[in-house]
Amino acid sequence: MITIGIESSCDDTSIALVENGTRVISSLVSSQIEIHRRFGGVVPEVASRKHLEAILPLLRECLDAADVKLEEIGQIAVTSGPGLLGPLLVGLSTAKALAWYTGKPLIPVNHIEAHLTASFLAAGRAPEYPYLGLIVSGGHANLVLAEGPRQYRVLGQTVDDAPGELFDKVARHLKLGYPGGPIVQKTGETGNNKRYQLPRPMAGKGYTFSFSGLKTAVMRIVAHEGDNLDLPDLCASLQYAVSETFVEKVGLALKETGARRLILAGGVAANSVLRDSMQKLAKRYQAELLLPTLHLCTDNAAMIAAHGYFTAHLAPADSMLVNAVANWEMGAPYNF
Amino acid sequence: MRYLFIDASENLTGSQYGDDNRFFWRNFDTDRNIGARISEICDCMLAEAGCSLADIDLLAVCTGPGSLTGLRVAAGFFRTLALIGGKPITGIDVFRWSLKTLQMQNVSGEVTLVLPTLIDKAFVVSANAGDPDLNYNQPTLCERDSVSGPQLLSIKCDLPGMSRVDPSSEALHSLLLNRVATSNFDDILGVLPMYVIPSQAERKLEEQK
Repeated sequence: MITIGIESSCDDTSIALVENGTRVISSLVSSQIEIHRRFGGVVPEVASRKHLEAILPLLRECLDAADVKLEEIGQIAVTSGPGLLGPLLVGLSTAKALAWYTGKPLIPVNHIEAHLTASFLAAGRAPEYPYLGLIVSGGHANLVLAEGPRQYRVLGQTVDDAPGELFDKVARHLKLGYPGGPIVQKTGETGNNKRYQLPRPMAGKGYTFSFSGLKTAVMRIVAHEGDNLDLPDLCASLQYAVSETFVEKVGLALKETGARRLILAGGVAANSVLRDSMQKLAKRYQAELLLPTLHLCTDNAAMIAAHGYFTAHLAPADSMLVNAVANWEMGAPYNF
Repeated sequence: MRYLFIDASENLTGSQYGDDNRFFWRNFDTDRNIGARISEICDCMLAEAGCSLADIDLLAVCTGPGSLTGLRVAAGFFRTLALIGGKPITGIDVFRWSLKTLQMQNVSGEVTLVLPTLIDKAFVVSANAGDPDLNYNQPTLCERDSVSGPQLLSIKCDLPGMSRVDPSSEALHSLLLNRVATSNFDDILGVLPMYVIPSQAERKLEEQK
């Protein structure tokens, strides 16, 4: 069965076609990064406007590129939360029109849950449970134990900033540009990750994450070092501190839950320092690590289609009445 | 010729069905829930009209000004229907609709249309009510208290010192029955909500320049 996926929760408009939840037929993303760069972050009102402009050309291009007719599509999966409300509604109204016109089922999808499915999609596999999932992005740092489709036990989350947000804020402070994650990684490639001593936030305090203290620590170093600041060393040290924080918490979770499958997901999963450290950690615990491809790390509709395929049996019969919701916890009921 | 129109520019969503012999308008109390109820509204309208989407020759959507959330949902839904269903689509803005209403009430001469916003401001346009093309100048955002001009007319509300105009079903029917629209892809893409007020971030950026 072919599932069409639609994603518009933040600043990427995306449409994809996925067969049986495991094979990407076509996946297109229209990024607004260049538009939001001048504001130093995503402006929801501007994002909504751009989604509306981009979504139909993308839909047409996606169907044409795959040479798939509308009649061949079995169901429509759409992100209905969490995310920015205005952008979400653009994708949802497009999906509803598709479902209404074709009479095919509409499957509302939780964006964060879908990030986890992206790693299975990258491997061409259906999700297998249980697994430990670490979702790291501009808005999230969630450590969960997935016990079944849409069944999650949240072990820990951030009490303040998310790691992507931290990288954005640091990059802005250092006037490196936007988005911060790729720039911090690039800048830190040649740096010494032990040059600057940064704290390991919430170390030894269970599964709770916190990153705002790291941001403050970086700013103190910047002020203290002045012209002597070594940017590559600082960026390398920052990434090392972030990845070590995750290593400690995920290691604890692997030990305590006994899970032997680990999934890394979200935009920050593209960070090579974090990927390397998770690989070493998984090896130490003899756990299987599934990583999304770089294309599937960032927001994309292929993961929405895949997750929709594997959770379609849980979607409400009257899903056409589902609304977009800015805050939708993983595993929580659908939104009416 | 059959059309289906939707106006989601306010909390109360309106929809009109029309054909060569009749038309009817219905209100739906969607509040902030248009995203959830849009297909249900279309179902209701078509059921009452006794037809299906396949019978509709023209889709029409209000382009505002008004609630950008509602306008986007309606435009997103109808534009997609137009694309996949190969249906012509057209946008109707509140100013043009109001001018048509005034013409049908035999108002003539220069008029100043005032559409209040949620803040203490208003969109203002001036036009010649007799213009058969219903042209008007670029809307400006003014303080409500300081609006001036010939024949002040407030749209959909009562404001001190102004007459009131409520865009009518009859005017809409007249506009849509005579509307030439195509299902050309570029035409579909051209049906977008009116953006009169830049976002706060855009205004800030403009000030910095």
